[in-house]
Amino acid sequence: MINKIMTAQQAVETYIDNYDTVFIGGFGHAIPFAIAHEIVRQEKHDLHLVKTGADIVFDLLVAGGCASSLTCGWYGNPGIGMSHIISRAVASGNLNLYESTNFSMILRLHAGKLGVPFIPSPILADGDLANSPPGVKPIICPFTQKPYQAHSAINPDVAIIHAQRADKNGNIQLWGSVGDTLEGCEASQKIICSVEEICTSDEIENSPHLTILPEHKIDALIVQPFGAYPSYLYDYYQRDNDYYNSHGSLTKQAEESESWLQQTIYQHADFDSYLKALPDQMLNQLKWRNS
Amino acid sequence: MNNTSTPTNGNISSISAEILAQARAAFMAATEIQDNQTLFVGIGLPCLVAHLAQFNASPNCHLVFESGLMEVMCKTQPLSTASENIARNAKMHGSMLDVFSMLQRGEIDIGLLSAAQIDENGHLNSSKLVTKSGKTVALPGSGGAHDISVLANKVIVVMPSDPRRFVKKVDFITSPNNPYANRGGVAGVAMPDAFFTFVGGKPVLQKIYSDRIAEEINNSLDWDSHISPTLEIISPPPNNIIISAEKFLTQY
Repeated sequence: MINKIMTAQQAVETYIDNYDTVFIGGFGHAIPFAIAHEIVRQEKHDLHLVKTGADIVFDLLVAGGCASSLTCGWYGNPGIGMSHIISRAVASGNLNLYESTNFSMILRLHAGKLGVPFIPSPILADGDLANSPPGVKPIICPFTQKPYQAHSAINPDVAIIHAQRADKNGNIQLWGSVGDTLEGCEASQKIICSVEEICTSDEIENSPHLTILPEHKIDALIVQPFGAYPSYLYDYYQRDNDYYNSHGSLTKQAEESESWLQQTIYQHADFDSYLKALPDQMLNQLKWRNS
Repeated sequence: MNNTSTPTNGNISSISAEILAQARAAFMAATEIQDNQTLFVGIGLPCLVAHLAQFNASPNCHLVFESGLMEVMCKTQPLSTASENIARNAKMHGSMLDVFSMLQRGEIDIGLLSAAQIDENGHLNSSKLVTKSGKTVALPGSGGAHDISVLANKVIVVMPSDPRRFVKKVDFITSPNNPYANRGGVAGVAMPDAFFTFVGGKPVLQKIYSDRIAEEINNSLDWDSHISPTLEIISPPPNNIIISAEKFLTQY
């Protein structure tokens, strides 16, 4: 049996190359912040990031100079505002932004998962987004002769995700809102997953309905408690709303963003050291409560 | 749970004009929802519409969010379509593919959307604004809005009062009001005073609150609109609805 358990540092060094296409899992929930921190820390560059709705973890990767392009349906701080970092990177020519829609991105990842070149759908036939995203072209249905748009497959080089738990072999159990995580993982060539805890294989066998990815698909397994902080993880911890609320003002100007990145990532040797530097009791207060 | 501002504890006179306008717009939109319908709910004001529908005239409507959450009781305002508060009040945690498949199969009765701009053709913009000086201001983008506008059986838009958002022609058509197959496209837009439908690509004032005057509302926008011969005059939201809306908007 290959030992897949490793540190985030080893996983990112081994399985993410510059110029890779990277899918980031988690949708408002279970966002793999710890792995993203490590990508920034290792100064990976020219990554092509793909996602339906890109949350503020993308700000870390873009501010850290890791991405040269982003294909997504949406980007920003959900329910709060714009991404100043992505807007600046696009305006300065440092980031190519390919805007699409969330469903088109799901279809393209699903095509990648199915191993087919495209999936037809009527979306993106009209309006100013039509035909502008790469990977969408008009076709005629061979059966009905009706017009559709072909949404071409995306097969990312690597997916990064966070989940509640796994056994040491990498059978991954994730529950709560999954969003686009499965489509993205199953379309990808490699999967790096961080989990809150390692459980026994017996525990997995007693709850196979919670397993979302089988061990043979997992390349690297990282044990990282609070690995989705500041997002939330169902049954484990709540979102740090103050972090999301203050993010806009901390990243509004380029200089502020730089010091935010220093304090969030570069000042810390790893994610645990970042967590330790958070105010006392904060993580305790965020612990999941069944209320 | 955090508060963004202090609730007024039921004192209606201290509710801000902005919240009052949002409550009136959302209540107006909710009058378009029938009980037992399935709604695909966008973030922002659409959530207040869903909340008011669910806790008043349409208690059995089924809420679906793009993250994959289904059969949600929308008790408090979610900041994202996967927020903890709606995930905890969902009967099913599905995937995005699950819910967008329902949308594409024609199983969604009403898509509830908002936008930065709406024009007199019912096209919506959530991608970018062009200022008078010609500068482009980026917005977060479609998300699922384009998909909902094309694929829902009917789309109801809800907008705050700012008349600058009601334009002759949107700066960018993110979500086109061009119905696909037999789907309905954008049926209408609710605002704090009224509800406009789109008939033959033109806006028609269809409903107003009884405390407003139809001609004034019709002339208040930069739209080539007219008043429907079957104009409906409805009562504005009662105090308990406004208080419930205020609570929803200030707590999450």
